[in-house]
Amino acid sequence: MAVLFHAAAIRRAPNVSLVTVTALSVALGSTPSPDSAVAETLRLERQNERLKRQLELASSEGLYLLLDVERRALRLFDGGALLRQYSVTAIETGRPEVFFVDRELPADWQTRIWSQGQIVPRPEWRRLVIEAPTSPLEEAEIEARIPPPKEEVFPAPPSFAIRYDGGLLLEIVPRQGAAGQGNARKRLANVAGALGLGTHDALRLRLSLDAADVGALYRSLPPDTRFSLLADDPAP
Amino acid sequence: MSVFAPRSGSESAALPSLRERLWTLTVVIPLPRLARRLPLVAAAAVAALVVGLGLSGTGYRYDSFRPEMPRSAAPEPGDAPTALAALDGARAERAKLEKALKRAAPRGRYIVIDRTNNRLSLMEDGQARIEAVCSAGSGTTLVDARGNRSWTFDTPQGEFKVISKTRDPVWRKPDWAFVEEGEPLPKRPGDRIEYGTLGEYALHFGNGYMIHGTLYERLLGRSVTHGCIRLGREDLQRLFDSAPVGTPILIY
Repeated sequence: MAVLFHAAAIRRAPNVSLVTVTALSVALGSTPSPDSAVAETLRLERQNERLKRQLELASSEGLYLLLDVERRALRLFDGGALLRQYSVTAIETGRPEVFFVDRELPADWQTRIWSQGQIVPRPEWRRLVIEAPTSPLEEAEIEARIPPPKEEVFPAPPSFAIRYDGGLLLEIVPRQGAAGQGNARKRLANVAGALGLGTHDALRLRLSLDAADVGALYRSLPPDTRFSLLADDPAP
Repeated sequence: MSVFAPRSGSESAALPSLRERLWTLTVVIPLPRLARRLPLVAAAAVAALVVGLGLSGTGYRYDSFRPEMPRSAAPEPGDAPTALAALDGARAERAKLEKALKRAAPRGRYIVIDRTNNRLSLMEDGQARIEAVCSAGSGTTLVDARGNRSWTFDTPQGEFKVISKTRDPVWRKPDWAFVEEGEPLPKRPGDRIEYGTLGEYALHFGNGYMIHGTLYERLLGRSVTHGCIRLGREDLQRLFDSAPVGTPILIY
């Protein structure tokens, strides 16, 4: 009996040692070194900051835009509810420079909630006023009254911007129009802006969207939106 | 003294040739003047060059976006138990924040209506389950000079919910529907009832507003209604089947 038991134990020995080794390596692996624990804690803390910002926006009233840099998506939210998502094809940062010298950007601009966004140019809703007819209309007359399309009722420019309190200008441009400084008037305005004459933008963020999405976003945005961005966790 | 003054002697009567005049006009007169002003001209040219160059380097310089997160100072590794305790704390906080964020989002399905772009979506878990072209309020104002009344046909903005749902809804025409067509207001309530105009289904969301069908599907995508939301037949049926009473409706 003892011989039989001993023989069986010998046969199982490789399996037992394999299990032991695996268990030991798992146990050792699950306990990170102090260095890696600190790195992981820092990464989690940065993620938590992002989550806190998202929570602050989601818990408040009103519409806001959230730029998810990683997923290249600009999302329109109302509280915690996602209303619409737009694909972003390019994200560019515009730094003011004077005589080839860059001005410093606000230190926390990527982690701040920008508020009181004013749309430039201001949206216009062309409302019609109709006088009631004095005699009954014919069926054909009623049928013929086709209202104008949204492009006429809510005209949208090819590109627009939202100027936030604190100096961020969020530019929304069509995919094809992202490059270049624009016409001479715009160039002059840029020079004046960078020099601090007139409206000075401490920084600009330019997002390229499909042309149809630029118009759709322009038409649907209410005044006083907020904006924040969720950037990738940068490599240390 | 004029440079063209007569010369002395026999030449006094002879006038200068055209070539001489041109030489005098283009070289003899301007050169000394220019020479006198040379420092000024040179200074202006240099200034223009400097300003031009400077302005070409003034404006906004666009670069691809780079994340620039402010970094907190890395704590000293310290001993293992302290580092692990900090890690556990960060993990616990993240779990708490994620839970709170989930709570802030609407539970289950909700309807989103973009009233300026005439789009309706049924959302669930951050994804659009139904996306449809709809028609929202025209924003038109109807003025009835005789009755001294006016109506503005806007779709209301804000948060609502599906209060009730009906199949084969009946439209009880309000006053503006008669005024708009130049018809007198009916005396009998029964004359206000109209069948079929609202399509096969209606989802009511308060104050007489509803999501319903239409006889004029070709006008979907345009802002044409008196405040209600019109949907095409198939989309309306899908929405009716998918959105129970109580479903939140967000209109912006």
